[in-house]
Amino acid sequence: MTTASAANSGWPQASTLLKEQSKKGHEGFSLADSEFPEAEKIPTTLTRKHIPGLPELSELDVVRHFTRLSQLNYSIDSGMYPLGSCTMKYNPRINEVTGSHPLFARLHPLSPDSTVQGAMELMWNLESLLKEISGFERVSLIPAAGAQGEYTGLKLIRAYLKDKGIKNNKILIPDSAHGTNPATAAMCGFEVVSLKSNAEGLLDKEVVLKHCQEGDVAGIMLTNPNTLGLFEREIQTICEIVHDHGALVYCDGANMNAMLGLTRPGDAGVDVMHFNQHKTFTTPHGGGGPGCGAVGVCAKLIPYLPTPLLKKKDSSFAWEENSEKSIGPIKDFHGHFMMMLRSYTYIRELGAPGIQKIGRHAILLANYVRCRLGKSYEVAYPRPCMHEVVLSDKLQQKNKIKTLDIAKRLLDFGFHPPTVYFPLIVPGALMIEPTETETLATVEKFCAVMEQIAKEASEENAFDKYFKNSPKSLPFAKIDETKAARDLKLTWNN
Amino acid sequence: MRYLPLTTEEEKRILQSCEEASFETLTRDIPENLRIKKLLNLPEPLHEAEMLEHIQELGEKNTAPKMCSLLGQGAYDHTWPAVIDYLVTRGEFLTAYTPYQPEVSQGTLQAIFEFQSMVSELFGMEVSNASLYDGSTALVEAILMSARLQGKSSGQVLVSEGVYDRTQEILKTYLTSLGFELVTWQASHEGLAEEKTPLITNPVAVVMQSPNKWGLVEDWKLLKKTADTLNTKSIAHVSHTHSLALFESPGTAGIDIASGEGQSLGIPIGFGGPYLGLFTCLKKDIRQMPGRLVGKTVDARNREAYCVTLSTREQHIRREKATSNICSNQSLMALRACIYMALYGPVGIKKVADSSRRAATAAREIITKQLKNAKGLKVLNGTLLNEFSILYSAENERKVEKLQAAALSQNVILGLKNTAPVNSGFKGALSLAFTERFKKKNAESLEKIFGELIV
Repeated sequence: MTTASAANSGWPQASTLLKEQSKKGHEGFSLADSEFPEAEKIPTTLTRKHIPGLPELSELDVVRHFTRLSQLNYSIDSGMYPLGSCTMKYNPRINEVTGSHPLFARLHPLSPDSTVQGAMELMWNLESLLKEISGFERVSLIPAAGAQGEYTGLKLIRAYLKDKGIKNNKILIPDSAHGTNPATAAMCGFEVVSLKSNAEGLLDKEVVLKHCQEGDVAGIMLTNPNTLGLFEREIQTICEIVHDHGALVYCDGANMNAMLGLTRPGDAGVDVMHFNQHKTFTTPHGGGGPGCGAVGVCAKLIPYLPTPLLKKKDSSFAWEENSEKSIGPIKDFHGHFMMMLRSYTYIRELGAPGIQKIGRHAILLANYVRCRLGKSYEVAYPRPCMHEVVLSDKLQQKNKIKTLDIAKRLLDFGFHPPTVYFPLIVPGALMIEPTETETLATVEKFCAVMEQIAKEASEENAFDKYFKNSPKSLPFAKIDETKAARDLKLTWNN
Repeated sequence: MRYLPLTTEEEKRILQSCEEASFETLTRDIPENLRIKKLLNLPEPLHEAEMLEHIQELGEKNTAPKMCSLLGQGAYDHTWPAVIDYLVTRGEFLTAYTPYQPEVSQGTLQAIFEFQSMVSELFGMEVSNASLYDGSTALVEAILMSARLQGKSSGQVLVSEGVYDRTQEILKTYLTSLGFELVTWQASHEGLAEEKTPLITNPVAVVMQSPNKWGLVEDWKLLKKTADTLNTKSIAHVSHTHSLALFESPGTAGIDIASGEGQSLGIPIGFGGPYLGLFTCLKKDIRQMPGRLVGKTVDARNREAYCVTLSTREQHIRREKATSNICSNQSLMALRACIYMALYGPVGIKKVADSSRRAATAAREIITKQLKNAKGLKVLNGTLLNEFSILYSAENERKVEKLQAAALSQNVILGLKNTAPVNSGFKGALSLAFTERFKKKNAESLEKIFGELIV
């Protein structure tokens, strides 16, 4: 007998696990019976003896389950995400129409070139757009995500140097870098050398020079604007120093949004950079992926690009599989094509007039946040920022209120928290990136909430009074992450 | 412009509030000579209706959608229900960030937990992660994990010949520069891994793919035995997830790590991606697992809840000492697979696998009959799921190409040229794949194509 329970009461409702809703004999599929006779019997040694423990549900069961789950999520469609370095801009709906277009959705990646010319033309077009926007000579669209773009980029540097007979093995990485940078360098077998940022939060050309002079440097991995939201003023000089020592420059393109239409990394002397199309060019984040990487390179790295390489001859397109100096294939097939459809749609819709406003608007809104919230929070590096600004909890710490408390309290006001405790060089960092798709009114509302929280944090007994049980107004209270790691339960069965 | 709401008036207000004279002074850190001073050379902006027309026009340049495609090799054109597209494009899933703030991400987190559970069930393995990029890179990660588990930074990886050629190339890209050597575990002339254990020194892992590149189902027990003999880890690579509905799971055979491609679980082939890398292992080895993991816990009111866990393995915490550089998972694709598995259940997945197998078996019978008297052409027998291969001699290569061209002119994409088992004495193989979409009328045209050309 089923008994009523109020455990899941309130809106939106949680949903019990699929397994618990399962009832033998239910089904949620519509499949014709095969027109062919039964196939030969599977030998006993190969046959599966235990039926996999998957649930049996009706279609409506499944629709309700996932609808309820969706209602437990925060999303761009429901509110602003001020997540620094994540560029949570609006994902246009038209992208979903083009990005699932039936004339592309069922194309097999290994189809004869002559049968998929439209898809190949689209990839060629997208590459041309990205080249013009970034100042690179070629762009490989293959990498699955930013981290794989980084991997591809460092492999290209390795291959280029090897070809020139250079065996250098150190990659210089600023201490403000994303964690993927050192992790990628390690995955490529490089030794990571961390560079200390200077008092302004920027790369110091003297420090770069010193390391280069010590020798064995294969390249530098920098982020521009860096993760403090600051433009690396000395980028040209740094590129020259690195090049003078026979090494190459990798740029992490995570913050490309700030540069759109204002400046091009290829012009500054960067040799290779990845794009995060799920940030800059609006393919959806999807709750953590899929990403879409793309890597732009200067002329000297073209021979090493991963296979297959797209070629245009007269007005038709072909894949080149064998390239003598290529680093080889880095993933299955030729990238997240259905995501390329989306970023292509976005860039073509905006064109140059739109693209060239993106960086400008993103920077203006971030500076609005900096100037306004600089009165109630400490700005880690008080100077004009690019697309994001890093605050800290230094003032609030005096009253024992930490960044995590501020983050959870924001949820009570209906805002997703900013990126917290990153970059690592700012203690208690709160990294805010409004993005150009928000209205000023929404950004003002966010700032007003942040001011309100700062005010609460300055009161006596602030923690007990305001922060202790946050978030309070959500279907879920604070979640015990320590318990999850201590009593590991990773599936229904363990 | 609809995605750029800031007005000129507001621009001025912001500059005033920051006490800046102009946007140029605000962005003075950008060196003058690096500033873009003119309009970028991009095509004219397109309004929505124009954009849709443009995509339609490009789409119509593809002739493949009108054809019957028998291409496989790791991407299979199965059907998927409309309700998947509906659910995954709900903005709450589509536009959500990585679920690092669990209180506002319970939807994504519970879905990933259910995904991990169902993938573990299918693979018969104890734990699954939240997914990796694709099948081949999941296999790369499996080998790197195997090396870590044994504390090895170099050594030999025994890779069965039946692993896709493409995947073998990808393994080379990632592993050889790190000091690992790939050694081929040869197949018999029948296209299955040799029983005899090859001798290798300093083994890092033994890798077997099933169904293999010729479409044949391998026995995981042989993989386990070979790895045991060499005293190293076994890695099972499942190239087609539906195979697990009919054939023994890696877990039952006692395999250490099992990777796979989950594209067949409700994900369109979409000209190559995004797909779904699957990754499973034993619970005791979890701390060396790559990628994101979701665990079950409780909230402050003691209600069941979920969060990302064991993050200390990951790059954002561990940096150069992380288990992998991966920073995403294929979350939206994992969600598709999760919904697919929920809708189909054990019965539906088995039915898809069985229908595809019936279609492939019928086609194999037809072609075997047609090739009965053909010299230098041989159909590989053995247990299949939905793909099989025809071996051809060097003299027959032209003929096979002609056959493919003739088929194409009749709107049939006649599979893919592949390598033959080295021990078979043949030059190459033609691999043909089938799904539940393949009907009797398609089988008839296939019969005709072979009948006309093979005499």
